[in-house]
Amino acid sequence: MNVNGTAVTGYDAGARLLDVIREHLGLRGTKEGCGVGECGSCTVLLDGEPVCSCLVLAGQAEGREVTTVEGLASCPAGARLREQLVDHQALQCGYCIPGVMVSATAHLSRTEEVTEESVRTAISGNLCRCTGYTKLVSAVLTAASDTGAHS
Amino acid sequence: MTTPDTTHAARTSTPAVPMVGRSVPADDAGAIVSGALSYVTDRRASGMVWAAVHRSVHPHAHLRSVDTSRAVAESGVIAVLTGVDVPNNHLGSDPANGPVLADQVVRQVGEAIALVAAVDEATARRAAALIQVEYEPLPVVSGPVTAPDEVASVSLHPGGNVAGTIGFRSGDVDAALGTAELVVEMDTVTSAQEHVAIETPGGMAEWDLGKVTIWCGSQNPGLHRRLVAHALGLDADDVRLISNPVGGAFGSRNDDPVPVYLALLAWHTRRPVHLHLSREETTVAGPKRHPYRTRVRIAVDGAGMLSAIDSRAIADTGPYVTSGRYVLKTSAEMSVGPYATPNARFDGTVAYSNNANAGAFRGFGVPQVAFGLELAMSRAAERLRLDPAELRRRNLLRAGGRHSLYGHPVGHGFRAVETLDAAAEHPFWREREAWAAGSVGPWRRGTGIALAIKGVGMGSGRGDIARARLIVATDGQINIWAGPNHTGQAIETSYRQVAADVLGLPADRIRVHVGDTELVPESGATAASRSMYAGGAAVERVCAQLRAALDEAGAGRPLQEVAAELVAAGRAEYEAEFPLPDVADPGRIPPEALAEYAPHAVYGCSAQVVRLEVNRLTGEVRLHGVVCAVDAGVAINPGATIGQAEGGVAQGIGFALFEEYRVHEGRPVTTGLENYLVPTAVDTPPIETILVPGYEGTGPFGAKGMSEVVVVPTAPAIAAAIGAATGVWPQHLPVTPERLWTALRAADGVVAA
Amino acid sequence: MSGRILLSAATESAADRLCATARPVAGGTDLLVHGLDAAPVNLVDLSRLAGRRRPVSRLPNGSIRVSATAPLSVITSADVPVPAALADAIAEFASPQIRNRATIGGNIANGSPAADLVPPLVVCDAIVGVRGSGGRRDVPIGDLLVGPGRTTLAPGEWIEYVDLAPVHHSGFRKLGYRRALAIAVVSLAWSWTRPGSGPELADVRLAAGAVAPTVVRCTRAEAALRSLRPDDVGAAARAIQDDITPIDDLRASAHYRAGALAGLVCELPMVAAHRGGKTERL
Repeated sequence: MNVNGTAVTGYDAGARLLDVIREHLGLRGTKEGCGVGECGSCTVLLDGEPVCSCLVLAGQAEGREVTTVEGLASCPAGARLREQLVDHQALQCGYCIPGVMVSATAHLSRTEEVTEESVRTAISGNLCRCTGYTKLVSAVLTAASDTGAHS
Repeated sequence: MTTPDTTHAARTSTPAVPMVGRSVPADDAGAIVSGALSYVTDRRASGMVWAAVHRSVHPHAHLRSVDTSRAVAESGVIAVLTGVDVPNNHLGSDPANGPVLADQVVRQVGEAIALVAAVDEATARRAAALIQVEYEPLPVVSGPVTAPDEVASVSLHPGGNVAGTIGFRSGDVDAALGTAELVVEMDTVTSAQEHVAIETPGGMAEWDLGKVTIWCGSQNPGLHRRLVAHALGLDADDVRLISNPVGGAFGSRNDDPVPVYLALLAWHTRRPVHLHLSREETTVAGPKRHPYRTRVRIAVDGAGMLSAIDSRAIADTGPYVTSGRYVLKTSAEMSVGPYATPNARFDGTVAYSNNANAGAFRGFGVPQVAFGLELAMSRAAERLRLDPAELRRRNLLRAGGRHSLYGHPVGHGFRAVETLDAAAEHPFWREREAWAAGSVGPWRRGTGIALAIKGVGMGSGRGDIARARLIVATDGQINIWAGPNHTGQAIETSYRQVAADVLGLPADRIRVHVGDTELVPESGATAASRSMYAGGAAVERVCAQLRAALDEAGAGRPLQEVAAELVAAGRAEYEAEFPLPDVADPGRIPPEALAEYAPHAVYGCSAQVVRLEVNRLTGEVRLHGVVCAVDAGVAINPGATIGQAEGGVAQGIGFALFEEYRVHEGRPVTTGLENYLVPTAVDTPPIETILVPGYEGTGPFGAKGMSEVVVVPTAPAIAAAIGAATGVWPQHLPVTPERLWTALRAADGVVAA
Repeated sequence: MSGRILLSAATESAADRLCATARPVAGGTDLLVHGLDAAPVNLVDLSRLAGRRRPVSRLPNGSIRVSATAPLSVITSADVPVPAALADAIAEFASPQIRNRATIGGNIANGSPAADLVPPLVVCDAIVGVRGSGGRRDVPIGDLLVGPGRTTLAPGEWIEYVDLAPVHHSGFRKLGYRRALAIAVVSLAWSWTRPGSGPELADVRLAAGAVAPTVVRCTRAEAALRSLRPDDVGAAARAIQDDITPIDDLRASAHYRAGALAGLVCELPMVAAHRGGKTERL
C-alpha cells in the first residue's frame, strides 16, 4: 500500500490497518478511541474515502492509497481545514481531531454544495466529547466557503 | 526563527491591545490539527514493555485464590503482579478508597486484580486472560437508587453501607410547605454518566536512579503523585508525574488508578512500561457521575414567591468512596439554586453498592439536584400561569445577598439576574409560542428554560490554594510554571494572556508550563471550575512581582538589559500563591464546621433555553437549538470560554437524553460506545453562547470559572421543553424514547379516563 | 504477527473456490467488532470483486441488480438509483466511515433481526444471488432468514448480488436512540402502488425490523392498509401487532417495540405526503 504517498511493505496483512499505521509506521496522529468503529478517532482515507482503520485488515488496503491526518496538508482542503480549525478555536483536548480532519477533508474534497447539515452528517461518525460540535461545524463551513463550496 | 526583540521597553503600560479578552487559539492547536501532538499514550521507548490488567468478573466476591502460574509461564511475559506485590496496597490513606489490586474481596465487576507486563500488547492481554481467580460470590448490593431497602442488608465496608450524610436547614420548611398555596414536588432519578474522554486512560512510566517518572493524563498531578508514593512506599519527591497532553478528562482523571499501575509496573520491571486501557475496560471500570434519586418540593405563594425549598437526595457511590462525600456536599449547597427563600432543607446520603464506582464528573453533584429543582420551578410557573423566566426572576438571589440554606453572602460578582435575562431575551424564548404553533403531525414543539449556579473552587475552609513560579532569563524570556493543569481548555494560553497584560509584554515573550510535578508548584486539581480563576490569579500575582521589579529598575529601558541585571542580582525567580477566598462570614454554619459544608464565596451562573420537538407516537426527541447564557465574569479568552460552554451543553444533552451506564445486579449492561450512547454531531443542535458581562473582583482581571455550571441547566431546560410540548414532565434521566413514550401513554390514559 | 491469512479473491469464481475453506469478508465492519483475536484465522477478501465497479444495474426484466459486495456509499452514488426504501436505509446506516466499507451481503449474512438493509430488501421482493464452491442459487430474501445470527447460507457460500423488483413508492423509517451510529430499536420499510389519484393503495408490502427473531414481512398489516385514510392506517397499526413477536432486550422492552412500531405505521400518511419526489424516483 501507499501511505501518504510512500510505498509501505513488510506489514502483517492480517493485522488491523490501525496497528500498521500506528506501530509499524509510527504514524501516531491516527488515534484509537474504541476499536469497534463507534468513535471515528482512527479515521483514515482509503482511496480517498474515510474509513475506520480499526475495522480494516491491512491486507485489504494492499495496493491502495491510505492517507492519514499527517498526509492531509498536501491537499488544499486539508490545509484550509487546519487553518480554520485553529482560528475558530474548534478543538479542545484534540484527541478526536485527526479523525475529524480526515472526515471533513474528504467531505470538502468531493462535495459541491457544503451545508451545515452536510457537514454534520460528514462528521457524524466522529465522536467529540469536548466541543459540542458547533465550532467544528463553523470551521468546516468557513473552510468550504474559501473555495466557494459553501452554499 | 525570529530574533528576540531586545529593544522592547521593560516598562510599558498594559499593551495598547490587551491580551485579556482576546480569542487566542490554544498553544498546541497547530500540532493537534496536523496530527503531530504526541499524547501520553503515543509515547514509546526502547526496551518498553506492554501492560494489561486482569479484572474481576464478579460484582462482589471473596477471592479464594489468584493463580498466576499460567500467565507467568507464557512466553514473552516479564512480570505478573498481584496485591502482595504492592508495598502498600491502598489507593490513598482511607481504606474506603479501595486497594490498588484487590486481594481479598472484589466489590465491582472490572475491579483490578492483577497486572501483567509482556513484550507486546497481544501477549500481555493473552497472559492476563490466563490468570485463574477462584471466587466465592457474595450477595450483591444493587444500590440506594434502585434498591433503597437493601442498603443495610449486606455491608460492603465495616460500619455499613452509608458512606456519608449531610443535612442542614434554615427556617421552618415543614410550616412553609403546610401553609403554601402551591407545593410542587419532583421525584427525580438521574443516571450514572460515563465521561467518555476519547483518549482512554493510559500512558508510560520509567524507573531510573531510584525515581519513577510517569506520563499519564491527570487532572490532579499532586494527588496522583501522593497516591503513587503512598502505594509504593516512596517519597513524593521520588515520583514525577507528567500529565500532558490529555485526551479529555471531565472529572475522570481526578483520582483514577492508572498512574499507580504504571509506576508499580515500572518499579517491578525496571523497564519502560506502556499501558493503554481499552474502551470496554474504561467503560466498565472507570468512574461515573453519581446516580441520584432526589425528591424536591418547593412551596410557592399565589404571587409566585418561593417560601421553601426542600430536597432529599440519595447518591450511589459504588464500591468505594473517593469524591462521593464532596459531591454530596456540593449537592447540598447548590440544592437551593440561585434562589432566595426563607426556608430551606437538604438531607443527603451517599451509599455504597456493587455498581460502578462513582467519582468526580463536571458539575460534581449539581446536575443531579438542580434537575428536580428547576423542573419544579418550570412546573410551578405553568400552574400559576406565569412566564417561567418571570417566576425565577421574582425569586432570584441578588449580588451580595445571602444563601438560602447556609446564610453566607454570595459575593458581589453574582450575576444570576443578568444571566437569566440574557437567555430570556433571546428570540428562542420570546418567540416560543410561534415555535409551538408550527408543530406538524406527531412532532410537537416546545421550549424550555432553566438556570443554575455552581461554586468556584473547593469551598471555604478547605485551604484551597493555587501557585505559580516564574523565572526571567537574561535574554528577557519569561518562563512560568503554573497549575492547575491543561485538560483541553487551553489553560496555558489563557495564563499567558494574563501574564502578558500584567507584565505589559507581548505574549510571545512568555512561556507557560503546566502538568509536571517536578517543575510546577502544587496547585491542586483542574476541577471545581477553578483552573482559570485560581491558576490565573496565581499567575497574575507572580507576574505582579516581576512587574514591580521591572518598574523599580526604571522606565523605558530595554527588557533584556533589565533582565540581565535581575539575573545577576539573584532576583530572576519569583513564586506566588493564591488562596481562594473563604466566605466573608459563615452565616448559619458554625465557624468550626466551615470545611464540613465548604460554602463558596464565588459562583458561576448559566441560564439556557432549549427548543425541541417530541414525537408523540414514538417518544423521540429532536433538539433544534440551545442558547447558553453564562456568567464567567470577564472571559480571558472568549473563544475558549465559548468552546467550554458548548462542550458542557453537549454533555448536558447526553445526560438528559442519551447517557445511562446501566448495571443489572452488579453486572454491567452497557459496556462500550455501541450501547453507551453519547451525542453525535447530528444529535447535537447548534449551540449559541452568550457571555454575560460581569466582573469577579477576586479573580484575575475579573474572571471566574464557568466550565461546570454550563452542564447543569441543559437537562431541566430540555425536560421543561418536553413538558411544554406534551404536558408530560419527565423526571427520570435520560429521557429515552421508551421512557417518554411510556409517560405519554400514561398521560393519554388519564385524559381518556 | 497475527498469524491470520487473508486471501484476496480477484474473481467471483476464485472467491467460490477460496470460500470452501475460509470465511468471506467484505467490508469487515462486523467481523472486527468483537476484536481481532475473535476473528477467523483464514479469510477471503471479497472487497476487490467487480461489484464495486458496477454496483447497480437494470436487468432486462425491469429488476434492479445491486451488488452485495460493494460498499453502501458506492451503491447510493451509482448512476442507476435504488428504491427509496433502500436509499433511506443506507443514508441512516451507522456512519459515513462504516457506509464506505459495509456491504449489503454482510448485512444479510450477519442475520441480525435489527439489520437496517433487510426490511427494504423484503419490501422490494429481493431475490438474493448466493454462490459458492457448490454452485449458484437465487433465493428469496425471506428464505434466507432463520433467526438471530442465523441464515440458510451454507458454509462456503457468499452473496454476490440482490435483485429488487421495481417499486413505485417505498420508504424506510428507523427508530434508533441516536441519529447516527445507532442500532434500530424498531424499523419499518414499506412499498406500495397507488392505483388512482386518491389515498388508495395496492401491492402493499410492509417489513419490520427488531420486532421478531428475523426481519418480518407484516402481511396482516399489509392487508389492512388498503389506503392512507386514518381508519385503514389505524387498522394496520393494530393488525401489525399480530405480525410481530418482539422481546425485551438491552435497548427496549417488547411493549415499547410494539407501541413504537404502531407509531411508525401511524406516521405513514405524513411521511408519504412529505416525501414528494423522493418516493417517485423509480
